[in-house]
Amino acid sequence: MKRLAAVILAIAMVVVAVKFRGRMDDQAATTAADQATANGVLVCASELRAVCDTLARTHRDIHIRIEEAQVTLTRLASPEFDSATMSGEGRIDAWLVPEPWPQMVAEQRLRSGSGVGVLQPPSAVLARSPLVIAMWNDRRDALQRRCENGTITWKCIGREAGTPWGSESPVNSWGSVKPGHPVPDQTAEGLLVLGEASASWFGTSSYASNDFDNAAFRAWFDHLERAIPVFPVPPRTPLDEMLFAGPAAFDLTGTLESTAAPQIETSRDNARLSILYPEPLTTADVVVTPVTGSQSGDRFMKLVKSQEGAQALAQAGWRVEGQPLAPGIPDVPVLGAESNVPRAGVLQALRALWTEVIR
Amino acid sequence: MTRTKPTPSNPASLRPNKIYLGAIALAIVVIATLSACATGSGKTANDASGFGNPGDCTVVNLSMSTEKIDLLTSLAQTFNQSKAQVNGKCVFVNPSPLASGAGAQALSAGWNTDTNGPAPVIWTPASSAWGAIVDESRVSSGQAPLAGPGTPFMNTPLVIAMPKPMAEALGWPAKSLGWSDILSLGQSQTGWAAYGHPEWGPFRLGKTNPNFSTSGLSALIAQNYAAAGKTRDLTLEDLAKPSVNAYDIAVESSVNHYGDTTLTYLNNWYRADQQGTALQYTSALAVEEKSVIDYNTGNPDGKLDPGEEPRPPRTPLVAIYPKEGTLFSDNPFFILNAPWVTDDMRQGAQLFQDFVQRPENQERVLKYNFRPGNPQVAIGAPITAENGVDPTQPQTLLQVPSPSVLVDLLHRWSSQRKSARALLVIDVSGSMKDPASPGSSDTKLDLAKRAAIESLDQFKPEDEVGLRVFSTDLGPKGGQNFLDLVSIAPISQNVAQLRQQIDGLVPTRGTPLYDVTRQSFNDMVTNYDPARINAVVLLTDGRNDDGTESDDKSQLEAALADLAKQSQGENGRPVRLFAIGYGRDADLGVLKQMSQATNGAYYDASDPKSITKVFTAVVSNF
Repeated sequence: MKRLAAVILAIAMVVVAVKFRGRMDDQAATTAADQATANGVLVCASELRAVCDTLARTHRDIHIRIEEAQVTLTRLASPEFDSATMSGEGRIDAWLVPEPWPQMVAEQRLRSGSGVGVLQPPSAVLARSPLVIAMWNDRRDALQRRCENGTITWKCIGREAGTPWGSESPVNSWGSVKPGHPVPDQTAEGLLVLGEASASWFGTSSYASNDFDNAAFRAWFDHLERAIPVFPVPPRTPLDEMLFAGPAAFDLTGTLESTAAPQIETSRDNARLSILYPEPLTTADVVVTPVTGSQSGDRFMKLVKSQEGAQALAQAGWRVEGQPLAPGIPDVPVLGAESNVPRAGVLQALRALWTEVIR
Repeated sequence: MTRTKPTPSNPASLRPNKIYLGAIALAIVVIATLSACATGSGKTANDASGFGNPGDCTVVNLSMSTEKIDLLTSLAQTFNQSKAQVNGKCVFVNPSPLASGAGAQALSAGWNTDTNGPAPVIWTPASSAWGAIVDESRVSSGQAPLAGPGTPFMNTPLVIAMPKPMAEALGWPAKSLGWSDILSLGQSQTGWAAYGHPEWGPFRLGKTNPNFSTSGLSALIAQNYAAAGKTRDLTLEDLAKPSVNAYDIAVESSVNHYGDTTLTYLNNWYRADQQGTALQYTSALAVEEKSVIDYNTGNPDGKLDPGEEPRPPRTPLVAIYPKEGTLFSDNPFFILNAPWVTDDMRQGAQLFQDFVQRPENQERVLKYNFRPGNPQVAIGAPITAENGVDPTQPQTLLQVPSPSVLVDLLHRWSSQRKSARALLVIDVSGSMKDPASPGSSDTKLDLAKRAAIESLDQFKPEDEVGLRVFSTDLGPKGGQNFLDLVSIAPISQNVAQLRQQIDGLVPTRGTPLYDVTRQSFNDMVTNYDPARINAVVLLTDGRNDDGTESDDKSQLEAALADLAKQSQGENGRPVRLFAIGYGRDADLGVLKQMSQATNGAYYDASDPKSITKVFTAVVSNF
């Protein structure tokens, strides 16, 4: 009898211990999740990952979420988005992103009749980075000979894309001209490159969505985009593939200077790669936008606009007034006053056009 | 009734109290252990080797393709000793090898821990293409995708390895060569005679089975691009074109045999080199660049056995980077979105992924002849011209086709591949009636029969297959060493008979191994069909035992001489012997000698439970 009682007692104690452990785990998980979001969530476009990682390291009480600009745009533009009830994975208190994504949210909500007031007005521009072309030197030299006046532009790249480099050695082993850019239906960087490339074809950044009906433009656009070998799945980019696999992957890619210059600076291929500044040069201008009604939004705005925020942006390769440039970021060309980014509606139409051609 | 007083001299009387106290003590230990886990003490029972008991660490199972066993095991060991933590608990990476294709099949079908080992948190096959295949297969069968895009951590391009004299005969290095050149040569009637070397015989292309091997899959993609006249955007419509199908069939016809990995080929090639017959074995083989370096440094399978000294081959290989482009084996880390992967495991996996990307760890990648994935680490020795490779190559890539095209490629290959003519030779000696494992109700023969019957499904309808069994005292008069139960014929005609006969096999007497191997091989040589892969698949669980021990040595020597003679030279009739050593008593040494004499391969199924897997690997040669 005692034997049986001992066994039962032991089993009971084990069961209690397991339950105790389970409860502790559950409590720990719930507490951690609550604590993580109680102080609000700063959502950062993936192009600004390094900035937000730096801020999160210093401010352990804030919660950072990195996601592609299109993902956040879709959340904020949804008629179901309500800043008063948001929680967990979908919570957004402030958004750090290049222009004109906050305006895109307003436009989409306006069009769907969801009300435009989900975001407060964005901050002034906090940091800038030009959209550049990272290119292998030997490809640059060869392409210069095929472009007007020896100047590589997106217009020229689009025309030459997909055509063979030539039949003579060594270019006969290069295959066809392989441009690249990040995927534009998910990343801000990709869509901004597409905007810059289109501005190159039109000769101005003041183009409208109805200009896309131009048959010659459509042919050029199709030619450029269809010649891109692959659109790496974010967070990987064509630049990652170039640095990983060499010139076999891409001959050139459109990218942010803030992304490319520091990586190329420390790359084994530093001496083989160049950064070109095409005309008309477009810049990605970073703003922070609090969500309307969020208690934490204003706090995030202050943090990102502070000296600390400015330093984090500059260290991540962005050009910030009054801050030293990060290693690898040149001080020329001096950026113009205008960003040359097309209007929000035009960019959205460009994304739709790209989807039509590629997806 | 007197009650016995508990005394030390009466142990029995102490038992109830001891049990009581023992149970309480056990419960306290369990509680203490669980509480320690809950409070995140991070205590680990891991030992100094990095691969002891994981204790209460979060275990991250890592399934990796076989070519990076040494590298990742070493990195995991260092990582485990680094005391990395997630939520206060240590992380323990537990690596285990599995071929890329086998891993893809296991994940597509739903991971079976009995046959595939612990379910992985990280899966790292040789190429991202496998992840796409898994997700496509799962989605098409109504399951959630598991792999996603993956993060590559090192790479090596697919190249065409050729013996240097052969590449030079084709104009290399001045002339750029490509898939189209190589594949056209494979279809040539004149072979090497057109290049002034009739002594090299026909052009023989080496390929591995694309269902198992990354090199095989990449070569198949490249072949189909060449067939379609494209370097990108390969479509289902392209694959359906009669011209592409005809091209594929013609190319496959030049293959000498397939195989589950390139290592079998490279070992055979190296052995042929040592015998001076490398140029007659294979003319070109699609392999990873790292394998060319391995081969040229005298380590053809990339693994040095204890005491083995690497000796460079007489005829080195050179890597041809195809002018049309090639593919990279990019060795991605897939942190799986699987139900068995917890948040802690995922975070632990992420820590290990970051760890292997560190420059100091990426330097180690070079020692294993891979190119570092971290662009901050320079590509240096051994990726050098002295080792037959070129660090500035490749200059262009072929586009990896969409997942649906990849799946269709594999499906079509199963009917396009070179047809086989195979004789299954199965040992039915008395020892086959032994239990498969202690306490098992299945005998060794039971498991072998099941595996053999399952393997029949892997043949295509045009393959010709026959069944021979061997033992002593067989036949109506009891004087035969073997019986042909099913004659060689297209399997579409005799599969039911094969199944029935295999199912009805019973164990009998001795094991006339040498005699029957030699006889079976000679029978296949006599009826050799140059349009097919000709092979003997031999399964045996024992040593030669024909009742006369005194002539064993001379019998073996005669058998080996016969096997080798028929397999060498430009006019040889290459019949490959694929031998399976089944159970602990199989004579692996002899099986290895005999199979290698034919440039075939031997397979170790000393654990009878592995026989299904081994049979699958054997049939991958067809």
